Amino acid sequence: MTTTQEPILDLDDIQGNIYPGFNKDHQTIRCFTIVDAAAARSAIADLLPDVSTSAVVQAYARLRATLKRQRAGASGLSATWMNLSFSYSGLAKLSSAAIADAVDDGAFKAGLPDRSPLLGDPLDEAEPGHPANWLFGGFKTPSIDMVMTVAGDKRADIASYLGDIDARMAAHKTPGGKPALELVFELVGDTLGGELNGHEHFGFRDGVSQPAIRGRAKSSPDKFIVERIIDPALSDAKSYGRPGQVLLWPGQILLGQPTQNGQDPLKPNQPFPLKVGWAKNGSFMVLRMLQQDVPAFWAEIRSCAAKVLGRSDDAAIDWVGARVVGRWRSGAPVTRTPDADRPEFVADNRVANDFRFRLAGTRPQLVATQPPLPDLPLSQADPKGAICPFAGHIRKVNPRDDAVELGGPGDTLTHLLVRRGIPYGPAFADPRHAADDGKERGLIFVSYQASIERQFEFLMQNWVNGDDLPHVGSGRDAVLGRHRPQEGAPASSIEIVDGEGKSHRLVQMQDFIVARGGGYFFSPSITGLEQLTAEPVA
Amino acid sequence: MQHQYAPAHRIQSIVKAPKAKDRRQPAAAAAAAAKKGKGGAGGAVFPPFPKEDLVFRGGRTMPNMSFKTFYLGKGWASAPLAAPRQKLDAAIDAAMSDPGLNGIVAQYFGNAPITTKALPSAVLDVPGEATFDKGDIHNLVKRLFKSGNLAALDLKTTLINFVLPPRAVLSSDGGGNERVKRVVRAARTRPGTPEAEEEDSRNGLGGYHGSVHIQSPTGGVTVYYAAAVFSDGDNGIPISGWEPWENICATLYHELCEARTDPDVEDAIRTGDLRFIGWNSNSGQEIGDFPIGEAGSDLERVFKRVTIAAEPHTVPIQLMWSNRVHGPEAPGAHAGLAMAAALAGAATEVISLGPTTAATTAPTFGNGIVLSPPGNLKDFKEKDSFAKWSSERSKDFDEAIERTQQYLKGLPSQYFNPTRGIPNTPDHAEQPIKWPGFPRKLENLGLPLDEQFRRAEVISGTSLGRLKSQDEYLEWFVTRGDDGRIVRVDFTCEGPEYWRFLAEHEPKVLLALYQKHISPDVKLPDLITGKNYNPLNVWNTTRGAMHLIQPSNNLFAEIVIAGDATILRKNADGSLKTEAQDLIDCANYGDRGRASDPHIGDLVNALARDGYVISLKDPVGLYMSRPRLVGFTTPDKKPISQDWFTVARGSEEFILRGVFAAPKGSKFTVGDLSIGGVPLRWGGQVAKVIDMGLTGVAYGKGTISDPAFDCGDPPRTAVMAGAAFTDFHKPTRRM
Repeated sequence: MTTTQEPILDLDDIQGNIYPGFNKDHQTIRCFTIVDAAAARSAIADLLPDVSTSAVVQAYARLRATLKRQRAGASGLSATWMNLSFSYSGLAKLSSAAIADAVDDGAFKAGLPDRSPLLGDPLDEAEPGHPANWLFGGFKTPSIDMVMTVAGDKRADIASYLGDIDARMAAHKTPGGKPALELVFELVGDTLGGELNGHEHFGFRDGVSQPAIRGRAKSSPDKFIVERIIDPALSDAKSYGRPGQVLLWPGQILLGQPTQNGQDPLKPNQPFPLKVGWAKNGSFMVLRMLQQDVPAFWAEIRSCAAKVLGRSDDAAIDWVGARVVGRWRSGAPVTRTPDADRPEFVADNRVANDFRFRLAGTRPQLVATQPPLPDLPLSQADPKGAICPFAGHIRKVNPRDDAVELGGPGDTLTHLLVRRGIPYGPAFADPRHAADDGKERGLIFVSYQASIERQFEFLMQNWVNGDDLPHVGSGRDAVLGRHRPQEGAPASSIEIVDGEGKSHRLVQMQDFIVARGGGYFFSPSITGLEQLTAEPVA
Repeated sequence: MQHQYAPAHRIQSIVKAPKAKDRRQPAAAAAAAAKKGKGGAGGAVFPPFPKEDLVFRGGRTMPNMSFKTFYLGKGWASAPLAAPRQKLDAAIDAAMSDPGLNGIVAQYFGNAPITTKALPSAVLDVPGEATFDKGDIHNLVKRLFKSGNLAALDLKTTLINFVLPPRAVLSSDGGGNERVKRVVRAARTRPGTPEAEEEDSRNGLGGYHGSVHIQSPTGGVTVYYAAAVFSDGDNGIPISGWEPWENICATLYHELCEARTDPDVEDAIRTGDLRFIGWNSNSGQEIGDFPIGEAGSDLERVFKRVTIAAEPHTVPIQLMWSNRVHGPEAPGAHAGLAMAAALAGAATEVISLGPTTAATTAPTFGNGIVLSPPGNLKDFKEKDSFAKWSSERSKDFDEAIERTQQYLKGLPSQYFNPTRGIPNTPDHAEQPIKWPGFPRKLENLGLPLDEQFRRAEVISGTSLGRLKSQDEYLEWFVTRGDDGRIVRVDFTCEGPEYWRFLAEHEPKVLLALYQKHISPDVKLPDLITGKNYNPLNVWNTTRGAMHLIQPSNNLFAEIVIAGDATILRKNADGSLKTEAQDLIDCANYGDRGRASDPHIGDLVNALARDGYVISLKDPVGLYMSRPRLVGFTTPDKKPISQDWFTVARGSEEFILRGVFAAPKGSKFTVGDLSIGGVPLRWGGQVAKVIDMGLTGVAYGKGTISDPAFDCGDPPRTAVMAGAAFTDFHKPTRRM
């Protein structure tokens, strides 16, 4: 693979949370209804210079990494980022229904509430996870036209910045004197703090496995935007940035770019044809507020441990929890360390995501400039799910080298997406021993993809909530799936093999995750934002 | 391959030696040359005979190798056998490390240095056997591997030696069934193809070398082995005046040199594929073989105690063939050599393998079954139609197995025909295989969803989207109302073979089914042109879908792809191929762009790698799932019931035909529905939530370990035989 074969990306034209991701400890996501289109266009035009681009966010990330390395500690830098995204109704208001249709007239147009049944959400209106009961973005809450994502290193920075924005937006009013954009919901997400930083509420390290995108920056076309550290003599160097960090063609995330080819991951397909040119470099954003029932999760793990291991002490529930998730709480992959949590597997990002399921791992060879890899066991071959169950969360949503119903593992890459989520709500000191405190907590799930149907919805509908996909008899995703019986579908189950090779199939009757709101949005390029703030052309 | 000596009095066994002599020089010249050779000086022992020079055939070799010797039986651990064992260890190590001897063999490696590492030997605590046949030796290899005793070795370059206890007979019989031998012998038509001979050490067999393929959870491995008899008295190849350990040393030297220059010869014999061969002569002799033939009954001409620099300074070996002297060559003078590390006196490791397990062999077969019609259909009216149907599918299985035999050349196929017998083993597994019904190839074209749906079902003139694109064994036909909205979608996954069968044997049933499921207006002449059934008749193309018509969608393809996928495939380095796309690219058993073909092949090949005997579950067919209707809503936002999908043929367990239409009494039609808020405008939207499937059956894990093959078509045995051959055909998907 040479640099010339990968497309040049205009990082000044792409919103920064799509790539490389804000990666901040604090986020506030504000949901607005557009009250008046003309005034909204004016307000958004005012905000446009603030929109954080990929170029800026990446430059900051690199500078921060350099300083951290030099100082062997904190960089001393801080920054506050902002991005904007629009729902179908938002695009239609700012431009026209025809233009919004041209962006996407499928799932994006239908919207998250109507698509909710496909995702495994409850069908019964009485349940809190039904869109009729959502806190925002549901059937009974105001339309969300625009989402503003603000991320910062300190909560106070975000507050200060939002205060500034509020003041600026106050200047943009409807002819009747109302604000152009009405704030209808605000999500506040924070990392959990202390040892749980980077972990989600169940206690597991989150976001370890993220694909990278191929391409070169317009500003430095002789370099890949994502560093390649595998010895170029090896075939893996063409497929991964770091070991295990799979490279996707940018069209998997960004519209108008060469797309991932299921048949040959090294050769892209032509960019997906666009009906509106300014959609190029935009990306669809899925936002879901997912409430997590931490006590219920660990109660079930404890119950499983008693059935599988005959005991339910902390070591036993950690062992079972690692199989249900596919990683230990530290994030160490269970196929590399089946019997004990070893945080050293995630201390080095060249190791944390380097594992396979079906075949045994191989030791990667890195370029000469890289320091040696820590001498840690490679992943074990697990073709039958004896170490990581087929219903284990990370095996469900990213089967890696497993046999899959789509043909081959290369085809699974066409369904991957990038995640930018952050927890909300107070953390439990030790989630394993949490008792219900009546407080809301969970994950603000954010993903970016070029196709909501092909990526987010496919994962949820086919793999997370498919009993037989990608592996026949797997059961649904043991964490994220809908487990309780619904509409004739029985309860889900997971098969766990104990340390002596005996298999245990355990029925899961409890759902741990309940949708509380969300929406489907489009995050335009800077060019696209400029287009939307201009007067629409009929 | 075999280290075999046929004494003169055993007339029936003297096959190779006279032939070889006849082709050489007169006996007097040979005797003179032999006399010269007996002097012990380096160089040629016989007059040159270039016709027997070794030729490189392209197979593996091992310029740098290790060996580990296992002495069979606890008796080797103590007196009186411990001392000869130690002498043997020291001598074979020294011989294999000697630059002079290695200099002869190095000519086959461009005269680059070759190295040999002797790994510590061990005594294997196994029960004494009167006879160790090849099956026993193979089984020992497998048990050693599975016990973990070979775990630390680089098996690609290590030879495992077995030395038999005194009086035990070594036989080259076994290690496969009779069918293998017959075929191998029948295929042995061309000079240069190595021979498989069933002999034993009471009849001049001293030892042999070969390879065993073992499947393991981490993939397949090949273990190279040699076996040597305790040559003494009338057993093996005793040399006059030599102690038994010296005889064994010469045998091991012979086998090690042959394994170095031709390690995969056993695969060549098993398959008849000459590409497995490293170095051999045009008469099929390996580096150590022809010299024995040359020596005839005067074995001392090539079995010699040669002087080497290192301890123990004299080693008993057999001279190897040397192209540079066109005959067996004795080592020349050499000096200043490093001392080989003598192993004598080292601690003896005694390894126990636990209870003896039976040798792994292909399972025997019990009675066959009559294959049922797909979905256990009860359409047939004629009594013998069921048997005829089964017989037709049996031919498909036979053809699929024949395809595997293009590779296996008589080795047991891992694919079986259920009508001819079901394996007699309680070890039985089922492998359900599922894939999405909507064409994956269309999904991967990078088209908007609507365009994918349109292309799948377009009917325009002679262009049928179904014929062209619906290639995942699921096809559908959309009926629209006058307003263009969908009224019903008919789904079918019935192979065309069944309908051709009906046309031939049950024409009334054929017509009745078309009239029931497609239109009462169907007439028999619409379906049968002349005497032939026309699967592309109007009622099964532009006016309906009775059964599969896409050229790749048929039962024969299903049967053959599964069969083809039982052939193990290997990479250039000998490791097994395991990845779905890699396998289908290698074996060409279908279209890599589909979901179905590579996935079926992937899972079947995984069973084959586990050593199972495999087939398809009765009733052999392709079956659809019910569509997942969650998210389908009527205009009043109400979810629809399962009544919208009717199983029209087959059963809930084996759905062959399904109709998606409004149930009786509904005020809505299909075109009124939405899926997750998106209007239902195309049949493909429903196909997207239907899975297809079949079920494989597998018997006897680990009972077969056939070799793996390079990519592409099977080896052209006829090329080797220099005769006409029947070309190998890729899967023919018959309509």
